[in-house]
Amino acid sequence: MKLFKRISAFTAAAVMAVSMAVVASATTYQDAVDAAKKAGVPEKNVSELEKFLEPNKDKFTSAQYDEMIAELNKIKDAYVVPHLSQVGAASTEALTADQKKAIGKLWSNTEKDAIANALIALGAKYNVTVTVKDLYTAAPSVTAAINGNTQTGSDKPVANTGAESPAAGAAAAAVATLAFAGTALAITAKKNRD
Amino acid sequence: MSNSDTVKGAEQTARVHKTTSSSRVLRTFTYVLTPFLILCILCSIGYLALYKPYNEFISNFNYVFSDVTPETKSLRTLNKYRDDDAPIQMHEIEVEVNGKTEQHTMVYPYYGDYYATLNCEAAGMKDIPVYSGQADDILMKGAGWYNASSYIGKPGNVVIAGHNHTDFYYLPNCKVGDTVTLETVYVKITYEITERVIFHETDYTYVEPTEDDRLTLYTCWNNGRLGMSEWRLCYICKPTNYEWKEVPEAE
Repeated sequence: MKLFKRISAFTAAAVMAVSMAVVASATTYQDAVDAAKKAGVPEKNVSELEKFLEPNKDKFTSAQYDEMIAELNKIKDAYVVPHLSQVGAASTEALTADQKKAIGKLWSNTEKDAIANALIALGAKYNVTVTVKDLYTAAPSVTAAINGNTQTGSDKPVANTGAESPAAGAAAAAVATLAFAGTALAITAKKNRD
Repeated sequence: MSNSDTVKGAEQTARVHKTTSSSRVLRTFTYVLTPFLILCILCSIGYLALYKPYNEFISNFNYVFSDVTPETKSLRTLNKYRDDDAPIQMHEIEVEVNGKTEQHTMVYPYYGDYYATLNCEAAGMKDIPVYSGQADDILMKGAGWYNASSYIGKPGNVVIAGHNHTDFYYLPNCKVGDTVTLETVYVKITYEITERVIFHETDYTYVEPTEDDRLTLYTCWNNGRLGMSEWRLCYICKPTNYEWKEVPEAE
C-alpha cells in the first residue's frame, strides 16, 4: 500500500511537472498583449501591439514572447508602479484608461525617451523597426515594420476627414485664387472697354 | 458770356479733369496688376492640373532620389509602405458561426494595403475602397481602416473613416435601418445601421474597443456643408450576416 501511494504520488508529480513545462513553454502573442495591458500600456497602443503580433505570431518563439513580457514588466516596474499611488490605483492591472493617461502626464520627457528607446531596442532584436511619433503628447503613436514592411502605422484615434487636410486646403485656395483673379481681370477689361 | 455758360464750361472742365484722373488710375491698374492676375490664374490652373499626378508620382520620385543604395531598394509600386513581394499574411482562425466553432482563413493587410470594399446602396455609396490605415495619403485614395480597431471579421469594433468631400460624401444620406456590406478577400459581412451620432474630434469613445461586434463609420460633419470641422458624423452598424470565403493558399 505504501509503495502504491509512493508510485501514485510520483506519477502525479511527474504529470504535473510535464504539464507545467508545456504551459510554461507555450507563451503566445496573446500573453504578450495581456502583459502589455497589465503593465499599464494605453488601450490604443495595446491594440496596435495586438494588430502587429497577430499576423506575425509565428515569427516569434515562445522564448521571445517571454523576453517581450519580461521587458514590458521592467518598464512597468520602473515607470508605472512608482506613480500608482499618485493616480489612486492599487495595482497596474486595476488602472483605468484615465489613470493610464494621468500616469503618462506624470512622466518627464527623459522618462518618455527611455521607454521609447527600450521599445525600439526590443524591436531591433527581432528585425522589427519601431518608430514612435508624438512622444511628448497625450497620445503617442507607434509604427512597427517587420523586415521593412509596415504592419501597423501611427493613426490618430480620430482622423482628419474634412477639408482641413493640407492638400485639400491648398486645392481650395487655388480655386479661390483662380476665381478672384479671373473676376478682377474681367472687371478691368470691362472698364477699359467703357 | 452768361453765368450759366461759365458754370457749364467749368463743369465740363471738371469732368475732363475727373475723366483724366480716373483713366490714369485705370491705366495703372491695368498695366501693373493685370500681369500679376494672369500669373495667379496660370499658377492656380497649373496647381490644380498637377495635383493628382504629383500625388501619384511623388513616392517614385522619392524612391529615385533617396539616399538608399540601389542594391537595398526594393520595388514598391503597389504600396509605398511595403515591398511588392512582401509575404502574404494568412492564418487559420476559429470563429463562432450560429453557435458552432468553425475554422476559416484570414488574410491580414499590411499598412496601406487595399483591405475591403464598402457598400451602402440606400445612401448611394457604391464600391468604396477601404485601405488599411488612416494616414493622410491613404485617406486621399479611399476610406481608411483604423489600425488600432478590430480586424474585419474578428470580434469587436471595426472603425472606418473617410473624407466628407470624396469617398464618404454620401455618408450623411445613410439612415438607421439601412444595410451596409463590407467585403474582404476572406469574408463578406452584412450590417444594419442602428445608430447615428455626432461627436467631437477629441471624444475617442466611438473609436475605442467594444465588447459587442460593430462597424463604426465616420466622416467630418459641418452641418451639411463641406469643409473644416471639429465634429464627426458617425454611424454605428451591427452585423447581421457573415459569409466566410474559401481563400486559396498563398504560392
